[in-house]
Amino acid sequence: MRRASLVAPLLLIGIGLLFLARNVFPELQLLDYLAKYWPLLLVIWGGLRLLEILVWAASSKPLPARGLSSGEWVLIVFLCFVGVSLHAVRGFSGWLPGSRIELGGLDIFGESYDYPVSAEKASGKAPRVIIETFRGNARITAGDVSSVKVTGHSTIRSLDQASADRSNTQAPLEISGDDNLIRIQTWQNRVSGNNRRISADLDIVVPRGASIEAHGRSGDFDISGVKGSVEITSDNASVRLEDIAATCRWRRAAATFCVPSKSEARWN
Amino acid sequence: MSAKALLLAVRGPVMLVTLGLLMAADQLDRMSFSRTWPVLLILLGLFKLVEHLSSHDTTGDQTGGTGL
Repeated sequence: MRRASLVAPLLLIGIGLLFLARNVFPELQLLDYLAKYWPLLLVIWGGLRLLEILVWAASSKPLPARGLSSGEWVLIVFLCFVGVSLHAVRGFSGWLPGSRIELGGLDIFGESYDYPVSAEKASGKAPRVIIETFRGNARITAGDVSSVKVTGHSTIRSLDQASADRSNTQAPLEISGDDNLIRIQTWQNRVSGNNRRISADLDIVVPRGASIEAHGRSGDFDISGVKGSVEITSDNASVRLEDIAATCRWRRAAATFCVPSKSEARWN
Repeated sequence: MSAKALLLAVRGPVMLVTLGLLMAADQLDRMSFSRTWPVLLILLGLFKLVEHLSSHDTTGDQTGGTGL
């Protein structure tokens, strides 16, 4: 008579215990554990089978022709597919090219989290204001002030609140520099990939004599009343200029645009 | 019970344990499975080799085919 393996009943008991644990403790993150540690199931399965065969061999009992049947191999392949898919979907880094679905996954499953930002720094009457690695919308207004003041909010799209909080601390709004050169940094480039996306809506008030230089990936720039030069370098931006006294340059790809002084211009 | 029978019996479980370890190494970001999968081929080849040698020792005759 062919000996029945102990592995199948043990696996059944294990699966039963997992479901029971899930029902008794609903807060248990069972899928997360499964997504991360499923390969250990293969190791345990193989280890038990190996142990069983060695015990049979030691007690001179008849050995099966194959250690694992064809049906078991089919089940193993199925388990691998489920494990890898679960691993990719739960947001852990995966080796399948298909697991790089961060943006699509974010659009479907992600949520937006808003964080207020504000910063101010005293400056001279005509500072050069540089906005670095910016993504989002910026409304830059000139006023009779002697400081650069930034208010607004940062929007982080993420799969969960904890991840968004982490991104927010990684990308603080900072203003540095001196009277003549003010640098506004959003550090958004620190938060790229990993199932997170960040952008900001900023209201920036600068002294009337300021000149503006902005480098960004996308978004809108709305600049008005600035007497100094305006230079915007962006991959994909919409720029609206109003009551600009000096020349401006807007570089998108290889093109450079200049606007005559005292004009209102709008490009999309 | 011959050594060949034992070898045939443990082949599947050993392959399974190795597959599990390679997958675990991949999922814990140690080593990508896309780099380590040839280990499975090598292991299978080793089993076939030992199997072939043991059958050669016990029967003394050559069998045809590819050995797979």
